[in-house]
Amino acid sequence: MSLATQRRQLAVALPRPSVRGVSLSALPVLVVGSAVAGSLYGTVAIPGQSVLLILLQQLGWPGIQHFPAWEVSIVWQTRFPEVVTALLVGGALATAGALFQAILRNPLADPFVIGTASGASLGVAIATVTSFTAIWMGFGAMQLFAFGGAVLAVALVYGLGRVGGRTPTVTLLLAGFAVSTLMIAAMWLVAYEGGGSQRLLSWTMGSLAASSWSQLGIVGPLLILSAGLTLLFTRDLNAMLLGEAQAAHLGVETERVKLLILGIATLLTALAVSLSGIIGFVGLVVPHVGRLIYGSDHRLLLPASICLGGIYLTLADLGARTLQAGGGELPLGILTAFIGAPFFLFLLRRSGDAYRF
Amino acid sequence: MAYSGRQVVTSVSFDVGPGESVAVVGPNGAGKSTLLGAVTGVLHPSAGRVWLGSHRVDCLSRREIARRIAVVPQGLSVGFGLTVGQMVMLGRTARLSTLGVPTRHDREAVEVAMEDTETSTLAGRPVSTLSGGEAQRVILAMALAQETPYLVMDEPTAHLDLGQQWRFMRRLMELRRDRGVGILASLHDLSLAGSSFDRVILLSEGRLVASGSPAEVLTDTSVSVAFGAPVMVTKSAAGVRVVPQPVSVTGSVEEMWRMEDFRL
Repeated sequence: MSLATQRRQLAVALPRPSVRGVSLSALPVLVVGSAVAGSLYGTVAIPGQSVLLILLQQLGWPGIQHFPAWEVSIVWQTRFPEVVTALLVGGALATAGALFQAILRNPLADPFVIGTASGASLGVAIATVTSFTAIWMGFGAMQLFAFGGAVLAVALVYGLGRVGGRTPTVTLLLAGFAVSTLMIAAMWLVAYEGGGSQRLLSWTMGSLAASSWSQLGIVGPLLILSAGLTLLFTRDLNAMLLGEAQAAHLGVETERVKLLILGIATLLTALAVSLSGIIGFVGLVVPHVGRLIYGSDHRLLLPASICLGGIYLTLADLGARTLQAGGGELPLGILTAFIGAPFFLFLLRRSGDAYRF
Repeated sequence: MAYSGRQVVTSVSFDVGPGESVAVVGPNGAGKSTLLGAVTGVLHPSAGRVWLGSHRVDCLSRREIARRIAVVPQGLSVGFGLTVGQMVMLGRTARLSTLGVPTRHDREAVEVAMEDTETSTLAGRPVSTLSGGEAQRVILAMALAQETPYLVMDEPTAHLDLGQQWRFMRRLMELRRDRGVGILASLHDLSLAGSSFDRVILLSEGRLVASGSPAEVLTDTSVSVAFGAPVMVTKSAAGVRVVPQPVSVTGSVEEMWRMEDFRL
């Protein structure tokens, strides 16, 4: 084979960021699209045109048309905060999942398997039952307790899973499973003894119904900042795919990167859980969907996960609000599984041998 | 630039200069991997120093080391659908900016490394679908893409067949000659060490047994004692060959495997 032919083949076979860049740039458009779709429908029927105009006017578009106060209130104070929360929570959980999977080099890793989400849930349960109202730097007790619980869980899992300076995957997953189970049991104990089990039951199935602007004021910017921060680690995360030892040989300060990434992923999980309760599946599956579409280069994968996670949860939330016949809302956790699992299995079957572990 | 490894714990001192090739041999558990770990700065010797030119390895950042030493491990388990092209590009990690956008030179280095290792045609394949030999060549391509003055290899020929082994060694010799790349490799194949490397270091139970030219180090006595098996060493213009003595077992094999009294 001539050199020229080889070079041509190489040019074809090497991933071309430009082509993928185009399809990646379609994602923000889809994010906006799903946000609009999420605002259009709900248990109360409001004409689509009114919804769009109310949104535009509230976002600063010079408007002259006046809408009834109840319509403005439903669209701007109920639906839109819910949509924004769905985008943020979905993006955060998917990003956290992608980070955990890369750092632990494990396709099964997600905020729930590692125990982070369970720890955060225990924190939230304690905050709910004790009605502790401390506020520190603008953070409510809910967020502080969630983060505390998540850090505790990660520290426990990591400490227990570490054998002789290394963190074998199986040990880590088993430790994560055990700690997770323990945290969930403790959460129910707290709720049961504290008399908040009914409230907690709906919360464990995940819900965005209580979303409000005041809640988003602090958590929102922090989530965006943390997710954006991860984009500075794409180079190191790519190298980590070859394992810690080889990543070190390639020039990555593995211990420092691991600690920072685990910290960010824990923060993302804790904030997401404090906003929406337990929403499974997003953190596990969305990163895999991202990889199956965009490949495993984190320069594409992380932005894709942020967007796909947000889109996915927004659409699932829309489904939860509208699919239930005769009004009322389906628990969001049920919807995310019913939409996500078949789509994921379809992609997984189609990719066949290429996506093997 | 001179490069020297020193491990007082195992009483080993040696150096590798530009364009030199040094083989580390010895039985399993002799400390070959430990030695390589200390040289590349992932293990810290309790005593002794590893110098990389005028720098101590443990005073350099991982990034600075990765620009000087490329490591070829025995094998890597790679998942998540990573392709060959992406993996070879990972060799450029220490040269990329924080955002990880490859420059024109990065792409060229990757292309050259892939041509050198006959892996260009594999570029789009997921690494998890490669055979052992293909994977080993891709790992070498990644190390070559690092464009370092030194290569450290752990059993680089373990998964290669005879022809691949020959081409692999020829490629290494060319790199030594053309770019003055210094090579430090641990090997099981004593004949390969004896025929293709400038110097050989024989380790046994964490201690240095002998160090020098292949003919000096690989003798009937030193190899037989270190490995605990009788060997024949032949020396010729083509280098030193080490072959184990033929095994003869007295007694009937049939008898050894009779299981009439066997019970479960």
